[in-house]
Amino acid sequence: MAATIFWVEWITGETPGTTPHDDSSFKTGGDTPATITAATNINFGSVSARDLTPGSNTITANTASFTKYFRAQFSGSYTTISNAKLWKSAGVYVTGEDIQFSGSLAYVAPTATDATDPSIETDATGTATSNNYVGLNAYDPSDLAASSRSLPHANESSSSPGLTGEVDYYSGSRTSTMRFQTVTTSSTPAGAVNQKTISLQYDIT
Amino acid sequence: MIWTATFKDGSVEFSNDLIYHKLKDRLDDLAMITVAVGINRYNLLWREGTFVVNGMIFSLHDKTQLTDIRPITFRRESVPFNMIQGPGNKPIVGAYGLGFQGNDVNGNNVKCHILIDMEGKFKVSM
Repeated sequence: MAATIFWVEWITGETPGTTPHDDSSFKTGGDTPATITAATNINFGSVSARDLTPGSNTITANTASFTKYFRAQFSGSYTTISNAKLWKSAGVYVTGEDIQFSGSLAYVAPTATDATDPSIETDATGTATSNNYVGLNAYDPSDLAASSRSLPHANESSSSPGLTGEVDYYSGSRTSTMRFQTVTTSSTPAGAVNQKTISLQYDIT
Repeated sequence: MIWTATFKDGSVEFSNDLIYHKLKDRLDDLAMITVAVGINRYNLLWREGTFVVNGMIFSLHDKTQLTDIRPITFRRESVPFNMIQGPGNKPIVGAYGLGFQGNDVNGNNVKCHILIDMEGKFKVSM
């Protein structure tokens, strides 16, 4: 039993629940992991696009990138996924650079306006108020206040193939919507910034 | 790493992956859950709610004060989403969790478990 992560991104012109589809469409075969256009990177830039090329979509100093909206999709077999946390696990900022993150919020159209989310955390530890948590229960900001944050969602069967009553194998649960954005200041130097690594941690049963 | 669920009738279930799905429907018959990491053994005596780790016995909470008691058995994983190289879809195992949870008299969910890292060190988590 193992989970595989796909990163599903919504860009300008797409709406969660419609394109790419969410749970109800998965369950009727609307999307499968093989047909999802999974994002292969989280490069920031001056346009709203999946897998954009930063060098061709540069950000001017003292401005922000377009916001990027993701949900992590868990495929494979598992009973529950819980306690999801996300942080910047590697990579050093240049002067004036910051990556902002929100782990559970309602989707709005991407924009290059500073969303003023908190800075992304730099480790997986922290308190309940740390900016690590990724919502799992539903697709709205109330996720982070929920007492239990786990997948599958309430309307989805658990994913333990072969067990009595659970032969309707299912995978494809997604986290809440996460928003990322990089912001710069007037003191940010010209040129490429350093590569960063974002990590998502979770407990699987 | 190997999970073992031992039942009152002496039967045993093993897993080198996850164990929850093999014991969740047999909680009344469950006697002990064990996770072996390297040479270390971490046991939870299910009826008593007592942990036994390499011969050391300890309890984190009076299990008799809880209702709707469920086991905690998980694997903590992480996946990197590298900004240039693409999504890392091969999870990295960081720890294992073993314990139980239930509801106290106020209806609050109480969790008691130990978190075992890949070097076999463990810490209490409540």
